[in-house]
Amino acid sequence: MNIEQAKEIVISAINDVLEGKAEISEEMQLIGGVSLLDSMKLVEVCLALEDLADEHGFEFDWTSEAAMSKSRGMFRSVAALAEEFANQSEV
Amino acid sequence: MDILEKLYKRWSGIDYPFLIHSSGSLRFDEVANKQNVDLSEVNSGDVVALIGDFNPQSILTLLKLIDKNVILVPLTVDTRTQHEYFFESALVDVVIEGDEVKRLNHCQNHELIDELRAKEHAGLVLFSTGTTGRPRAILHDLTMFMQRFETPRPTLKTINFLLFDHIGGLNTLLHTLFNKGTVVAPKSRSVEDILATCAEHEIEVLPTTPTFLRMMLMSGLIPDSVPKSLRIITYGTERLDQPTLDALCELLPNVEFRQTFGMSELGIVRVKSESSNSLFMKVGGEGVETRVVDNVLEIRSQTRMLGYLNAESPFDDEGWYNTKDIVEERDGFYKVTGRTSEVINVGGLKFMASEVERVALQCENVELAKAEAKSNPITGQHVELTVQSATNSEVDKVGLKTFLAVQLPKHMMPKRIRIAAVSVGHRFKRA
Repeated sequence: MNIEQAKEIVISAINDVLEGKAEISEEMQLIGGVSLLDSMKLVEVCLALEDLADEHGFEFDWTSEAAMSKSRGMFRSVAALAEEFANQSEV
Repeated sequence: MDILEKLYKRWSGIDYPFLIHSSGSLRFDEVANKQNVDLSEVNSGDVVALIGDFNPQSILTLLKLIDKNVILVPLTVDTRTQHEYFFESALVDVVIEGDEVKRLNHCQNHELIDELRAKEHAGLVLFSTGTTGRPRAILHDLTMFMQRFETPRPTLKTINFLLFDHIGGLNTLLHTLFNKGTVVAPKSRSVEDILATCAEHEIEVLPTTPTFLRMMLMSGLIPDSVPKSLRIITYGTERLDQPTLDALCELLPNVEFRQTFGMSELGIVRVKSESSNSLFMKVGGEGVETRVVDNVLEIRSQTRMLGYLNAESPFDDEGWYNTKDIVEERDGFYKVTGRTSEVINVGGLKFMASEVERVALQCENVELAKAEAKSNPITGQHVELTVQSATNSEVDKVGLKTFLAVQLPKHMMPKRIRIAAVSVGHRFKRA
């Protein structure tokens, strides 16, 4: 999966969780003051990505110890999460 | 001990059966006159695994073994794949199955078994059915356990679907034998079969689990298929939810609902429900004390086990046992609200998995519900819910989600919902 496909999937997952109520950009922060997602909604996004990864034939790991150690970086922005999603699809 | 002699006297002149099962019935004289298994090679103090069931030969051998002051390990064929582990953990000297008596060679000993032998007391080893780790070998002083049957008590005609290798099953068998009662073993555990058996044999007491009660409620068979003879329904081993109990009390106003509580480690403890429609209960009985530490129920019992044969003692220095059951207390009555291991912590907000399950069970067509905590790097944990649809119906996932969103605070809302079979334990965990 290339990065553009991953971005599309991540944006669509966030859009679903936010019920289409906000414009989502690649630069959008996922954690922190200006994020549109609260922690509960971010969990929902990740679970949706788990399901979407399953549909694309790979496992999206965001809960293991290894994943947790890079979670801060992964949740920095929509683009960072998409990059991690694309990377995991190649493993 | 002279159990057989005592029982023989008590059953003299009585010709009704003490056990009724799907293929017949059993009177005490049939047990007493059954061809003996040759126990000449079995010595007092031997650890003896008896693989059997509630049939004449097993019951007779069981009684004879208690009379011989052995340390008894009752097992069933259902757990055959674990028998080697059980033999090793309990330091079994002799295995009896049917007519076959086989001695095993080992050179191990255990101080708790040696203590029983020194006192010339019989022992009983039961295996825990906990969900974590391998089963633990629980050793009881059977001579002390048998003293409870010295005082005659009234019996009611009851169904028993407990197993031969469980403290509740053995307690019911011995109570029935010593008090000249009748116990009925049902053909299966289906709601239809159980209610049909109750009607056929005019059962007075029906011991159940909350899962069975929920299924009975959804079966549509109550109240019409519940016979008038049924006076008491007991429930235990899992937590029951208030909506189910309320619905049952409304449909069956003449039946008394009683909660049971106990665990193999503590022996049999007496429990009294506050009322038929209350989940609050008093835990007590002779030699049983209770206290609550940090909302967790602790019990000290004189009938407790001597210890585990293959694990550290779970009792503190003063003999208290931490039940890991979180309770609410009201005027000396306790209501179990969850297990310490079931506390879910979402972003620092703690709640019980059972709270989510309780709400899910109120949604249309949900038969069983299991809420579980899953770890995540964002909120620490989140809830995932599995629900099982009632027979011939389907749970509307979107409808369930909407229902839960209205009923539950945001942090308790399941982040993933699956419609799938919810596994239910195949046997009672507790007496």
